[in-house]
Amino acid sequence: MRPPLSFVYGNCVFGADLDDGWAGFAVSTSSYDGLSEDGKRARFVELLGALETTEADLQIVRVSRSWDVGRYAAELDVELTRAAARRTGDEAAREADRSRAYAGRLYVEQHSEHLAQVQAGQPAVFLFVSLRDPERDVASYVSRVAESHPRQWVDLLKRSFSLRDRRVLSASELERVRVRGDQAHARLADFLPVRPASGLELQWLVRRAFCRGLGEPPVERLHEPRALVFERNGEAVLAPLEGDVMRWMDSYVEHRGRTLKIESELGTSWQTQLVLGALPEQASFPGSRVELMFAPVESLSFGVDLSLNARFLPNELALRIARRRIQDADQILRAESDGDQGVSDLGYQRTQEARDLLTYLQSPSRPPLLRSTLAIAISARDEQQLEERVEVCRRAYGEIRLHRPLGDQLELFCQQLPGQRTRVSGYDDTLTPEQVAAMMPTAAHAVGSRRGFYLGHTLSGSSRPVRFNLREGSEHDRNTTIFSVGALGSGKTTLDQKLKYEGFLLGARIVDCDPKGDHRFHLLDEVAPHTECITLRPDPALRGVLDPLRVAPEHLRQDAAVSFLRDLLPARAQAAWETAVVGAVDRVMRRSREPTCLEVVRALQEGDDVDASVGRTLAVYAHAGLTQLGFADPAQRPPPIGQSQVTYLPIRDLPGPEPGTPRSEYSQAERVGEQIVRLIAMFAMQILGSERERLKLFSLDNQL
Amino acid sequence: MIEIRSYRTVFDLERRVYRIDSLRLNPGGVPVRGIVYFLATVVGALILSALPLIGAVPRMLPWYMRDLALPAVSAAVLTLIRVEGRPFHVAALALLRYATKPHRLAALRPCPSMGERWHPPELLVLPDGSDARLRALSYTGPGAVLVNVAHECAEWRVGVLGALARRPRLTLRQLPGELSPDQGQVIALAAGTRLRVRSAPTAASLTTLAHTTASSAAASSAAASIAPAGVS
Repeated sequence: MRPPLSFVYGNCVFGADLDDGWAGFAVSTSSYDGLSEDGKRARFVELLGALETTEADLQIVRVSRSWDVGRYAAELDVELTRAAARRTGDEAAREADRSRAYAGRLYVEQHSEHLAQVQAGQPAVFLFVSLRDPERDVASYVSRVAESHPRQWVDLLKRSFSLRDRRVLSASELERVRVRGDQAHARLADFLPVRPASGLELQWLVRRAFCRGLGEPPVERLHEPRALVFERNGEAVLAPLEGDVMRWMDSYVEHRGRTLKIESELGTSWQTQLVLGALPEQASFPGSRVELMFAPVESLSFGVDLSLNARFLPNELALRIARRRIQDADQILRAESDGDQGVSDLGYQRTQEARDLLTYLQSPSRPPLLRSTLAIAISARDEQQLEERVEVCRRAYGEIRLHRPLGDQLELFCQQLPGQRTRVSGYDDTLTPEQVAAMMPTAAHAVGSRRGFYLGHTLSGSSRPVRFNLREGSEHDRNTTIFSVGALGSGKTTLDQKLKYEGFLLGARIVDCDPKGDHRFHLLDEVAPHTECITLRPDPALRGVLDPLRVAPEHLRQDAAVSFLRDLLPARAQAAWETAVVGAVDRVMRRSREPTCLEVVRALQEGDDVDASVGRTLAVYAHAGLTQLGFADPAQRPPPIGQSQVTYLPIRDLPGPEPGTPRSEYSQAERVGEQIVRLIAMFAMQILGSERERLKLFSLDNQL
Repeated sequence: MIEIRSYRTVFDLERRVYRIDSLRLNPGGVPVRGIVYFLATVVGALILSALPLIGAVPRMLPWYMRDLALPAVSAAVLTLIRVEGRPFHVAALALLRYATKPHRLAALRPCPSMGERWHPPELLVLPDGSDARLRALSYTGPGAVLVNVAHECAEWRVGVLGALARRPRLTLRQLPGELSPDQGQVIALAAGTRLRVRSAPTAASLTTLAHTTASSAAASSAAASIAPAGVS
């Protein structure tokens, strides 16, 4: 068997021959399932454009990369260490930071253990574009030659008839390959988020093929295939050291008919290769029947690797083939019509479809055709597991048959390596670019943050882990609010407490407002010593804790106080009452350095009749119920609040409107409840207002 | 919604023969592939029946069974079946490849099974002439041999049988205990002339001046240094 790879240079991969160069590109995957139909169509059009613009044979490789648990633990270890090192307080504070970091590491360790058991994967997509001209028919070839300069004819003849050593590559040829690779990159980048694949990724792609189902192989970061450079006839020539590439494949492979047993560096990998049979005659996009490189793969609970190897048939060649097929179809139809049984349905349908194909190929975009084979590599730790996975995979593909060719397993295995063409015959299907684009190889369930704690997993079969970074909003100047909505018992409070605990581990300042009294976060052993609990209840000792003229940001104080006091007035209060409130607030703010709402009430009581009426009404609220929390006595200093890392604010029996009630129909109590919530939010903002660099969380668990 | 169409039926057509001249075949036509299978089976049956021993079995069958009925039935069956989604001949070729190719590979190259004893390949040693004793060698001309030690050279008649047996025309033996001469002796060898140097226990030096005929048997004997060019 000839080695499937001979040399790798940058992102250029050379197949069995040095004149078979391919350029490798890593394609970013992105979330697809949640897109609207328009969004999915836009993705389809991008892929279609990329396929048509390559104008070369191509290979799309979608592999399932193991989720890197080690990297997750290492990243969080760095974050926890950084959070612990941030404080420069006394010894007690440093000790608290250390114990918090310790708790954080235990927490991450538990995550790591769970993730290692789940064996989650994430897709990685690579696109290889052949740097050889695609196959053309004789007429196109001659036309092309006629268009070129006579000097190029001489070069072509020289190249065709020279007895050159297939093991060497001239430097100028290598440079030509590199330039063609750059051109392919430029064309693809117009449509897809691609970047040239690194040598490390190519090495990983080769080495991981031998360790499928076992994990990710260690990759030699500094290793690059080398070549001997020497001079021949005044030209720099390279003789690639094939052994440098072959050492990536240094595993023992046993071909067992329908199975491959591979003794790799990570253990014994059992693999089998399946090939996709006939595609549906007609299907709608978007839909799982056509998204064959996404929907069935993501529904599996284990990772599989896919490789679509396509031969590019340019439009001129495709047209000639289509015309020949029309002749063939007509001939068969004629022969059938001469028979006793007459024309068959299939014969008639074929003539129609052949003409439809010709019409399609003659459309203004002049589309090409792609003669393609889609191979699927399934792997497992033992033979029985492998058989089970094959069955599961066949079920996932439903109506589309997956063949498991006997005797061709090794060829199909090599076909999955980078820069390969179809190596088995009998399975290639002539597809339109639409069919290939609809397979959605770049679609994924890519949700969550790049950093942060493990939040959960996607609901797809692949159960892809989702991370969540609490700092993401503030780091990217985006909205920092996290809105969690769900039915009763769906886990909103649990999520809220999980996020608060993770924030606590990262040293965040936390204010936890608990209107229902079912939070337990503050009772955790490591959290309790750093928690202050302020129960918001009608207690004279807490009077004025939420006074808007004290807790609101300075530029909002007047508006917040007016809004609070106005909502305490009866619903059918005269317009003059509102004016009185506004005037009193204004007066108090002008004359007092530390104004409070109680002062506003007193100012109103000292005013004219209208003011006095308003003052008397508000005075009732200032000395009773929850509303007294909003009326601070200027003679009393506010209690010291906000000294601990966690501030727990339970507040019971807070009246709130029924979901969907218009604001104009709120009762007095509901308006008061709303105002209290607003004051709590301002109070929390006041507490969290300091320490700009520190992560701060305010949690409000409310029933809407 | 975008309708995605497949044109598989256009490309996946099977050529059939419906009539031969005015002779109409069966209504559905006969697949060309089936005819090829039939002819291949007939040829196979003929070859098989011509073989000794094993050919006795097909020879026992009547000719119409052996050369007509069985191939026709086989061809019909082989045309109908699809092995793993492929026509029979494609699957059979894959099986043939599988049967003939090595099943165990290391670095995708054939290798012995795991647990088998490993033997190093034959090592080729090319002495450079600085050995303490004259090594045995065999060299076939054209070329020239420079002998720098006291020696005895014998010339033999080689007949047709001798040539077939690759007997040497010249044999050279070092004389033990003799001093080396001041000047070496050059022995010119015509094309095809074979020289055999017998090994001696004492130090010696021997240099061959050759026109480097790679086909020479000297390399296979590999017992003395051969300078490819120049005169010493």
